[in-house]
Parts: sequence; structure tokens; C-alpha cells
Amino acid sequence: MKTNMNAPESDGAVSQALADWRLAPRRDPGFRSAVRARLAAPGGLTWLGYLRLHAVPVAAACGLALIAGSWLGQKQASERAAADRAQLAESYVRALDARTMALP
Amino acid sequence: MRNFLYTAVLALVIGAVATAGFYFLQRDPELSRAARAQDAMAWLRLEFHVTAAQEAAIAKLQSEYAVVCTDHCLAIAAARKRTAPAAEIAALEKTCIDAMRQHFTQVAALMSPGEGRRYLDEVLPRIDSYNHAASPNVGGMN
Repeated sequence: MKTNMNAPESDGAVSQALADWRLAPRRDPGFRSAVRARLAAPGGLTWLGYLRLHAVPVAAACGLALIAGSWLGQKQASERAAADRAQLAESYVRALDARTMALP
Repeated sequence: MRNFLYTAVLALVIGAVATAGFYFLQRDPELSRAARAQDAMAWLRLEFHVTAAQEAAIAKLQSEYAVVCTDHCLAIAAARKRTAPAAEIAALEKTCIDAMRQHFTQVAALMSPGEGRRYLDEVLPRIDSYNHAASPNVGGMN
């Protein structure tokens, strides 16, 4: 005998069964650590997944690296220019300074 | 741990690229070239924005001064060779210093007022900072 799932009496039985259904999952105290262990295991989490998971600290680290790198690059360029200027000024003055010259 | 290392390497690469990028953007290759070649005229052109006409006038002044400077050089060298009295060497050096000051002032006068002042601020202290003990052996002049 076929059961018509759309029949009103059938709907009522299902609803009753669902209403009576109680879930009582057992608490697993090691659930979190197990998840962490699985993520940390080789092949557990791809790098892209890691980046997504730690988006804020990763973005902060990359931003800091960018700022530090740009500051360092500018500093090195200005130090190099200052050294070049000093070298040119010194050699310019010394080339015109009879006191510094030696006869061949 | 592996992912952390990859991320650290990524941050280091970003830092290194930023350093190199900003260094190349901010550097002054003309100035570096002039320093390598010890090109004084290029330095004057770049640093004090000397025009072509000013540059020609400065070059003329410089070649005139070269004659004076050579005379001073010969006199000082001769005095040192015959171990002349210190007072005599000091007097010759003072003549040299006065001539240099006068030359630099003349060069500054050929520049625009602001640049001339900056030029004097740069070169005049270097006359006084000359150290006899560490004098370089300059074979020739520009």
C-alpha cells in the first residue's frame, strides 16, 4: 500500500514526530583541540586558507612591511644623495686647493 | 608553522620590493654619475641649477683660477721641499686660502643670489676643514 505523503493525516504524523524529536548530543571537550590539530596537520589547511583565516594580522604585517620598506628605501636614497653631494663638494674644493696638491 | 613561514616570507618580499622600489624612485642617478666621474661642473649644474651661460662663465673663471692655483701650489711645494720656516709656509697657505675665497665668491656671484649663498655655505667651510695630516694627493685640477 502506497503512502501519500501529501495526505493531511501523514503531514500530521510527520509534524508530530518532528515535534517529539529531541537531540541530546554528547559534549566533546576535545572538539576544539581536535579541529585545531586537524588544521595544523600537514595538508590540513592550505596557505590561502591560512591567509583567509588570519586576514587581519596578515594584512597588518604586509602593511607594516610596505611602510618599513618604503621608509628604508627613501632613507637609503637620501643618504646616498647626501654622500654623493659631500664627495663632489669635497673633491671640487680640494681640486682648487693648492695646499692639498703634490707635485709629480 | 609552514603557513606562518610562507606569510613571513611574503611580508619580507613586500618589504624588500618596497625598499628597492622607493630607493630607485627617490635616488638621483645624475648626481651619482657626477660623483663617480668627479664631475664638478655637473655638480654645480645639478646642485645649484646653473644655466648653460652661467656654466660657461664659471668654466672660464675656473680656468683662469687654475693658473693662479698652480702658482700657489708650486710656491707651497717648493717651500715645503726646502723645509722653509713655518711662518713662510703659513703665509703662502694664507695667500692660497684668500685666493680660494675670492674665487668661490666670484663663482657665487655668477649664480642666482639664493643658489650663490647655498654654494658658499657648502664650499667655504671646506676650506677651513682642510687637515694637513690627511691631505689627499691631488695630481691635477679640473
